[in-house]
Amino acid sequence: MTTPITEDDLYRTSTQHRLWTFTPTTLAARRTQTHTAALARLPLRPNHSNPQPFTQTDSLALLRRYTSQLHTTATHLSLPGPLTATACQYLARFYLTYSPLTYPPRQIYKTCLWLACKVHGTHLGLNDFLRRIGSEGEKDVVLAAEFLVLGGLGWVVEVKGPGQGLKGWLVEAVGLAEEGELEGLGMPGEGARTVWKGEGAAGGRVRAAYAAAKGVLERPALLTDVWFLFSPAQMVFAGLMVADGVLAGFCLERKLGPLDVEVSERVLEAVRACAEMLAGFDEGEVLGREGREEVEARLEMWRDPGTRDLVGRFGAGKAAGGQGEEAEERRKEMKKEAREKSRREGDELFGPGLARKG
Amino acid sequence: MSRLAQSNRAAPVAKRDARTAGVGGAQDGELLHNNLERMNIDQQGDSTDNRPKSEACPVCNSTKYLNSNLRFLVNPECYHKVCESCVDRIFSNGPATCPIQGCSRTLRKHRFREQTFEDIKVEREVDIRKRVQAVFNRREDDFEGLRDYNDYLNDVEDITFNLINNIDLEDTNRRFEAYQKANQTIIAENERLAREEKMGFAANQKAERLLARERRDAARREEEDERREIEEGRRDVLKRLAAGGDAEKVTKEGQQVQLKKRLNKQAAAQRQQELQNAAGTGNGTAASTMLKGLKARPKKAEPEAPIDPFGGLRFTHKYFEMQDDYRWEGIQDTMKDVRHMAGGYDVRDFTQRSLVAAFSGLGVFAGEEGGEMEKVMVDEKALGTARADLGLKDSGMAEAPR
Repeated sequence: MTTPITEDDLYRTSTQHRLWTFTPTTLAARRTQTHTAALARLPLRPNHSNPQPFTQTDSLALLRRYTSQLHTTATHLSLPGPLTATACQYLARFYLTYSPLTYPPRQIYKTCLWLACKVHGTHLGLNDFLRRIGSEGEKDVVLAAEFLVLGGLGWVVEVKGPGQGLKGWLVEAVGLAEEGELEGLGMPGEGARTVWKGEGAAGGRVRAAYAAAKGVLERPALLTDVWFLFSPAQMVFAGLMVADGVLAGFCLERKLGPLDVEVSERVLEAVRACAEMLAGFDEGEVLGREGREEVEARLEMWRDPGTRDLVGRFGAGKAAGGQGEEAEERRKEMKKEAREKSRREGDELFGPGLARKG
Repeated sequence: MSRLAQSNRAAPVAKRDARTAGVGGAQDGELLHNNLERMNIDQQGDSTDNRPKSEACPVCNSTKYLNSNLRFLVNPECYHKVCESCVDRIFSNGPATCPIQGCSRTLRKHRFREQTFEDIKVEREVDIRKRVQAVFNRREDDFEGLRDYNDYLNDVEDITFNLINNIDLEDTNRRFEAYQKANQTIIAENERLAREEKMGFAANQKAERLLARERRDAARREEEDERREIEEGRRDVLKRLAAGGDAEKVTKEGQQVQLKKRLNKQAAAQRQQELQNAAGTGNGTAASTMLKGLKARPKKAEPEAPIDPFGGLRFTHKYFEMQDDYRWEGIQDTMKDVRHMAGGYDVRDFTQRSLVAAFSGLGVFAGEEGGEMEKVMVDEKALGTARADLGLKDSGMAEAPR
């Protein structure tokens, strides 16, 4: 009595599919919902002479800017690709739950990277981490938002990305090329991102397509909504489609051939839609420095005053009984007391330690 | 619980009683009366020259030193030590009073016996316990649960303790006798059971031996029968040959008859074997009673099914077939690299994982299982922005009072 489980069933059980995948409509609805809820929380409209409203478009643009910043920082620190993707997705997911009006991304995005480092087993000390990203002294801010971010993620820390899948495709495609199955394929079409121009063996084409797809999936994928709308496998083939449409089409055809026509049509449609989004991404859409400052100034006017003091409310210092000299003293005392107590208990249980000579 | 607690409370009271009521117990002359108290005093008096006195008969003063064959006997009535020859002399003509000065019990010769324990108190306690056990011989199966059985044991111990220490003798003896009278049949039944249990082992062994002998006899008989039949067949053939039949035909016929007989016998033996197998289950239990304390063995266990760690789930590949070898240099290099392979790393793990990742979810679309997402929408609304200060309050509250 066995039930067969396929790769698709495996993905269906993942939290990414169950909790963090949307159709375009539900995604938009969710964003509007969050934005409206945040606006409803504002006590009074600001009394400025010409209050330009902080719109949903502003919030999306600001998010994209911070995602880009996160990506640049992670690349600068030469952190692995999946880690970067995880951090960016944390930021994106968090802002489906909360609006920038409630918690501005400036306070949140470092925590996202910090959490992603922990999740991926890249254990940096907090001081070391802050020194590397050039923001020493923001210890409290990063720690204060940690719990908040995890709550906003719905306590789901796994983010599945296309990285490993792309490697899987490479493994198989290199085999195909060596066996000569790629002979006779047409040249990559106009606008293909691959650097391959028909020279050398078929293996070269595969590797070039891989490199190009990797580039597409590393940055543009993070700055668009594809992560919320498509599965990692669809993203893999969409990335390849952008890189080398002919090759990707051939590989997809081989995989989808034995399937139901209806299903394979749907898969192709999804991959094409995804590829379109990836190809349509324009680096110029990301806000520049001035743009960001302008939007943030507006955000500052509109932002929720109730949640302003993040550090004060969630701060690590508060949890341990305040800050400053006095608190430090108190902490030391408590530590000493605890040590004494455990020593006494040990003595009661096992008798006092042996007297040391000399 | 309550019973045990009661008995705990009762115990110190009982001990106090033992000290105060001891004399009273000695006076009332009931069934288990004795004058241990006096004996205690005697022993204390003897303590200066304990050794010679204990070796000498208090009646005739003969000592073990002079007569090495001297044996001392006691009577469970009063537990006074008297030498064997004195017992013969005094009690041969029927019951008489105890020859020890101050003891007025009437003793009979047949109750005199040798002392088992050096301490006379222990001797007496053992006697009392034997007597109580003979009456209170309920078994654990008689009770519904362990709890009841333990309560019963506790009651029995209370009675025994009272009898040994002469506490509430009248009351205790009344209880004892009432129980004996009320449960005569059960007592007899349990006694019989205990006896049978003791006998059962021996009887089983005997039966086993008998069976073995019967089997041997049967085997011998069968062999003899077979030999006789062969002899008969041969004689028959000879007779027919002598009568002038065709030699070849007659021998063939004779052989066929033999064969038929043998086949018949084989079939019969097989039937017998089957019958024995059918009775085999009964035999099994008989054998198990040969060893005492063995639990009934459960029926032959079915062979265990192989462990299925995935609980009936089987992983299949929809989009690809795993191959033994892949040409990609990343895999080839790793396979040649001692640093990877020395630890037993299997490159196929990597290949498998990557390929599954490449196709996992290719045919899965957003909004397929819409219900779940709708639910999340509601949940998130409750957890998200709308509740931003609730979360703050909670965290504030958690930290405020210390």
